[in-house]
Amino acid sequence: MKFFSLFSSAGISNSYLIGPDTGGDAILVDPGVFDAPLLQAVESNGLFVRWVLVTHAHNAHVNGIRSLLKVYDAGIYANQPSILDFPARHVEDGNLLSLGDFRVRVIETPGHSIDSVSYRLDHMLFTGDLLSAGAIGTTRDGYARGLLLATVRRKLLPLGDEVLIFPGHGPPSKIGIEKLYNPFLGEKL
Amino acid sequence: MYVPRSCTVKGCGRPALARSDRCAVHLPDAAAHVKEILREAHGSSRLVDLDLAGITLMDEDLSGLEISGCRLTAATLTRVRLSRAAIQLSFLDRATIRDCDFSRVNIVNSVFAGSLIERCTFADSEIIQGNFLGISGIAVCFDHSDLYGSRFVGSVMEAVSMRDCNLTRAYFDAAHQGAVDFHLSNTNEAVFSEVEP
Repeated sequence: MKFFSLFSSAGISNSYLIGPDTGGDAILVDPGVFDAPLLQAVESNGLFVRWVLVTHAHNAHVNGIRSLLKVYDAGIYANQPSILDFPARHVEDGNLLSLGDFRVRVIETPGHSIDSVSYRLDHMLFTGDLLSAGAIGTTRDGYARGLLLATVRRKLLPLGDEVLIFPGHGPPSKIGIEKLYNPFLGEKL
Repeated sequence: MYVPRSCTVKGCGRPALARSDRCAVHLPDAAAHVKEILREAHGSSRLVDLDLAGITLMDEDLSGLEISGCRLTAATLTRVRLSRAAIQLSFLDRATIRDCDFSRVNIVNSVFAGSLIERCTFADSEIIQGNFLGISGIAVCFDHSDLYGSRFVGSVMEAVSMRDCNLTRAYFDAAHQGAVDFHLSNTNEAVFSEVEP
């Protein structure tokens, strides 16, 4: 599996590109921007962006879709009926997406936003703005913060300590690392 | 990215080493196995997508090597030279790292969380979005480095030098900083909030 993490200075956000070793159809998670480095990563590795997975519809994570769709005929997957006026295939908790040879599990993880979802692909978890290294996402109010923390504890922490976290912002982490060192996860609900 | 597999020894559960079905504990002559992998890496200047969890490296020269998509979780690195190495999307968490040279290293999106890092230098480096959560850093030098977006949340640092560093978007929440020298670094652009669990 080819795997790339790309940084958007526009939204200070991460995008992730996943494709077969031999090239071919690829997954792009949260294209906050579609710029030359991303295009180069796709093309120089013989990949074709076929599927776009959106963790939530905030600009820092979807702004690249408009340009992307001018280049690639990609399907958008989100917990929204449309993204930037482009129709999206609706995903919900428990869906198993068959994307080429990749199997991606959808986990609804509301809190940061009501449409937030995480995607699990093998030992990798794409959490958007729900959970990042030593931090949690911003929330609108106390209720949403409680919802976020409950979601993390109930749905993500049991996934296994060696599951890798690839967040929408900041460095990667692991579930086990967040259990030990994320100071926010100890908050009382 | 490395693909995790478990050691085939019944009841073990540790990660199997790359190109083996056994972990660093159960593989007979694991040291020779790792030596062979490193020999090939020197030939190509690359160490890519390998699971090397739990290995022990001592007095190795990995300077200038590209290390990408590797797991060195719970590894022990002693007097290893990694100057000018390019480390990306790699996991050196829960490692014991002593007397190692990471000077002029380029680290991107890599994880050192929970590691003991003692008497090491990361001076003159680019360390972008490094995960240093919960490290025990003792006598570590990061001078003149770019630590953009790196996170030291919950770390314990003693006699650590971060002089003339870029700390933009660096997080130090709930970190214990004993005698950390931030001289000439832009601490105003870092996050130092205390978090009460």
